[in-house]
Amino acid sequence: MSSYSELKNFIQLHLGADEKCTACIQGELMLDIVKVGRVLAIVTRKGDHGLFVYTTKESVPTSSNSLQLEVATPINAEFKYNIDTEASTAEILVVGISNDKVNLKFQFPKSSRSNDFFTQLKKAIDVHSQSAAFGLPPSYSWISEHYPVSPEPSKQLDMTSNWFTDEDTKPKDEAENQFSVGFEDNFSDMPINTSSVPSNKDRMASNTTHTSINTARMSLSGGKVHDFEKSIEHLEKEMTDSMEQRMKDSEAAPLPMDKFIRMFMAMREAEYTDIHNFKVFCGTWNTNGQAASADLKPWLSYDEEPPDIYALGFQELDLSKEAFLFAESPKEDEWFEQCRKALHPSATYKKLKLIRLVGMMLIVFVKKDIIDQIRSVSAETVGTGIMGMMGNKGGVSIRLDINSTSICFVNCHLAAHTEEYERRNQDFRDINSRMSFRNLQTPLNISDHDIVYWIGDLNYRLSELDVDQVKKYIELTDFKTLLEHDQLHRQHLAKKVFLGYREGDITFQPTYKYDTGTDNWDTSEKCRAPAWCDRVLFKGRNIKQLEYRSHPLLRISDHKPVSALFEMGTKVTNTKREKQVLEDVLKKKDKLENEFLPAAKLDKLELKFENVQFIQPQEQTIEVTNVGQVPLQFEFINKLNESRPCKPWLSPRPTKGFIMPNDSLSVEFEVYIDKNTAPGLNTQQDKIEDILVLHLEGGKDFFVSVTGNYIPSTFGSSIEALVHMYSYIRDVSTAELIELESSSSEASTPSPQKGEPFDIPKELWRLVDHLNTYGLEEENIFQMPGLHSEIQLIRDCLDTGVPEAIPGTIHSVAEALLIFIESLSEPVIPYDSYQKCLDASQSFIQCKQVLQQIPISHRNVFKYVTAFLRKLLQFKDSNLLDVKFLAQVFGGFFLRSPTPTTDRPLSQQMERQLKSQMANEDRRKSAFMYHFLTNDYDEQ
Amino acid sequence: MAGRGGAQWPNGAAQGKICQFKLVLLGESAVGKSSLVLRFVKGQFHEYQESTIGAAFLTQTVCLDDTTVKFEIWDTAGQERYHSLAPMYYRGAQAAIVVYDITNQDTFGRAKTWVKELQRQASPNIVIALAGNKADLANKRMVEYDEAQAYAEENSLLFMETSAKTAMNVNDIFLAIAKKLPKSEQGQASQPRQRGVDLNEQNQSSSGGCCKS
Repeated sequence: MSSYSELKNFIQLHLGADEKCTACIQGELMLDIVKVGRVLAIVTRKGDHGLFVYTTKESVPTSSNSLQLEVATPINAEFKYNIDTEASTAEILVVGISNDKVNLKFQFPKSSRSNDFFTQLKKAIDVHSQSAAFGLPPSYSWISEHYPVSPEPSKQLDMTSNWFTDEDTKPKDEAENQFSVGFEDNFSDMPINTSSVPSNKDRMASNTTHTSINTARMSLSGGKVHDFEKSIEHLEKEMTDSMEQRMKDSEAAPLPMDKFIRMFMAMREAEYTDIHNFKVFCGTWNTNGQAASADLKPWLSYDEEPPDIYALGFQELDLSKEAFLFAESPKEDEWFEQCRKALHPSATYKKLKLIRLVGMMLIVFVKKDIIDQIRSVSAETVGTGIMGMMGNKGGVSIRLDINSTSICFVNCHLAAHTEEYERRNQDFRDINSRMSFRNLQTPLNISDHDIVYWIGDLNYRLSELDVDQVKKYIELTDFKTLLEHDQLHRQHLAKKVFLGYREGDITFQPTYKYDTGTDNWDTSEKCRAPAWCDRVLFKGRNIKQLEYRSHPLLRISDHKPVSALFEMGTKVTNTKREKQVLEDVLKKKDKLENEFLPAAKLDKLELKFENVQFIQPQEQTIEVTNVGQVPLQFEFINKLNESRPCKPWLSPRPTKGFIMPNDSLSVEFEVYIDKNTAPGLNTQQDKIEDILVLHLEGGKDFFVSVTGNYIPSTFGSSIEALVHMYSYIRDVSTAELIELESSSSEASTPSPQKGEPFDIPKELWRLVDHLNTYGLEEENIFQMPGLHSEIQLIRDCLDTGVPEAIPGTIHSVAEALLIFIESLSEPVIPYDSYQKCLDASQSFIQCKQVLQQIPISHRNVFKYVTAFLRKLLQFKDSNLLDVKFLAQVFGGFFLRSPTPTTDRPLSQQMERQLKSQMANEDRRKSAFMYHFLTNDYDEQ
Repeated sequence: MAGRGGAQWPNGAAQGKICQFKLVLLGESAVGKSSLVLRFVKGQFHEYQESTIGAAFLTQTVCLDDTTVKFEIWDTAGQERYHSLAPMYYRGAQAAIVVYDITNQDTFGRAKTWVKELQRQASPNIVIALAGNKADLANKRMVEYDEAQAYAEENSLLFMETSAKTAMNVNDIFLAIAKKLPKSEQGQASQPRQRGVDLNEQNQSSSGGCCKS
């Protein structure tokens, strides 16, 4: 015997975290004439107790798997236990345990263990009565959650009736005195709606969710609503992720044929399958526990031609206690041998499979020469007897495939007693739903089969007729009238049972109940009315019943054997034709798929932007129409190794969108040349040329080409090029411009070709001169924005000389000056001197030293502009300028960092670092500039 | 004994699995890439097939004896201006058909460049087929069969002369590719086709196999 603590552990493994097994004991459940091993446990949860009874697979449980919960019942006010002192002996303790639902009798070996157990049990009862006295309502819903499968409160477990024979030995009132292990009464104790009792699994799932939400709430109390939302988002994401993961898991490569293909292949099965016929003999006999003494030839070799398949079902094969308790039964071999000997002599048969559960046995024999057409043979049993699972009633089943047809034979023994037809119906449903061939690659149930033969002692009787009436009709061979009283016939018509099954016409007299050894109707005390207990039903296509009869010559039982002969058509796949059909199905599927791909029409694929000018946006639109049959999602996608879908001067809007069939959407394309993109376009290093890839989600791509030309501007040029440019930039040919720009970087020294350079760009001079003449006292100069349209005119004035005088307000001119400086292709302080200037920013002398090293034209620009700014500051009472403000603005424009700002997303830490570095650089830029705004450059 | 489903599909091709492969068509413009696809997928031919500006996408399934192969076909634009976009389509592809026009020697030269580019840049195990299209115009032939055949052999390419117009060898070349594609290894048969073009996967596994048999 496993140790007490081990056993307790096994039980604990069946329990929830908040439930505890306080005591347990091994004993035997006493059922009329047999005793079966059980483990009893007292389980507590939050002060409420329950008694759990487990069945055991082995006499000594070796793991928690050996235990299966049979009964779980609350220890409530009705709960009682009585020690039966008369039945108990010195070694054995006999105890009756009961409450309003349960009435069981157990025996236990007397020991300290049993003492402990009953002490604990008594305690549990006391606890209940105490808390009841305090008015604390007990809650037992947790017990119901343990119940195996789904507890059916209405299901009655017949334990009091004698279940070894089908005799109605008990008076009816006692038969009704069955107990149910229901919990419905206790549900009313529960504080919440009983219908929403979560299963154990649900409960756990909801617990997890709650925890996560609680975590989320905690961050809410931390003061940030944002965090809360984040947490919820996170939660949702986790859920979607796990779902996606599951979907991924389920469709690991290679992909199985999808449902569509399977469905269409199934629909067209007839095109690629041939029908091969087989003769099937189904026999059933309740042998009433008799010895296999009779010659079975009159039953099994009744027909002239040998059948291809035999399915032989027996019931009450063995009524001994041993058959119930042990797997072995000598009767099994006896009857098998007897059957084998009686198989049709003109063919050779092989046993395909034999399965037995207590008294129910099913054997399938097949002709030797068809055995290689049979695959996937499997057998299972379902008990529906005592407690809904014992094997005194139930079914045994063998399934197999012949070619492409799946076949299932079920032999069953359903509940006895005339009035119990409802229970027979229920037994059928239980067998039908619980029989599962799990050891197949894809587990199958009975109903998954193409063909089912259902045979057995179904035990349906004749209603509303007494024995004499029945016998009279039999004498008249008026089976038609009798069948109207047949319960199976009625229940089947009422669609209460055997839905979809057929039965041949019954032309033989009832097969039950005879005096054993005779053809005489039951003359015993109970004198039962005859009935067609033994039946053969079938389901499926291509079946023709040839015979349906009983075999009265076999007299050893109180039942007569029954047999039915069928011609069964099985499908044989023609692989060549199957492939043709598959190809056709796939072709249709491809066609559908291609038809339902997203499809769009773009009204143009080429966009031409002519004469694009600096800071002057141009827009064009493309109309995208969904011409497909499905909603469409499009997106401009990045090209290989690029981080954006197009050049920086181009922006499509929107970059992604959703269009319903027959709907359209306008995508705007804007070209805008700013300080960053102008230099490249001025020098023709960049062109107004790009290709965008518009991708339809799940479909094709469109290429949208953008072309155009850019009109060069002084904005975006270099100081070097400008000081060598004697005419307006528009009058300079492209080739000259490229020449000017390309040589600018090399040297600023005058060359014979270029001639003497200007000190500073004439455009700069014009802007500053204008401000110097008209704007020195302008309030808020450089602090008020200009007008965009005026700045464009100023641009034209500088680039073309038209209009002659600089147009616009002082503020527009001031802003134009800032833009001019900002968009210089090389900043006033060249990039290579940038760091040196920052380093020198503490000292005016050092700053000047650095400036000595920059190209002269740059130095001139610097000196010229700072001189002007110093002059402006002389008028600060009118123009309200502040030296620090100017230092900051012009410091930023003169000194531009050579490291380009990145588009890429940065880590938070890097972003913070970068920010502080930039703030530091800005401070030093201002400091640098400040020197020159407060000191004259040429002063010592 | 192991069982299978409800006995609907005992053996044969239908029982098998579907392997999905990405296939790309490359080649000079107007050699007939779209026409080949149209012939293969829809069994049609248009004398005046519009120029492809973009990358057309279609799917087609072919049955082999033991497996079923589903092609996700990307038919690319042939014009030179779109050349730089081609890697978006051949990247991650398990198969490519490089098409030339047998009546135009230049297109054969261009095809060789494509083959070279694929050998250098595409998945190392990519199955490449060379298709000499417009075989119906044999009287205007400028590229000799033997020359192309020899080149294909040198470079271990599948080779067929095809005609989208007469359907000659069109199904055959796709079928030949399907047969040559590795199906026994465990592989990434088909990555989710979110963009057709996977920009993030720098080193996509190139073994295109899928079916565990």
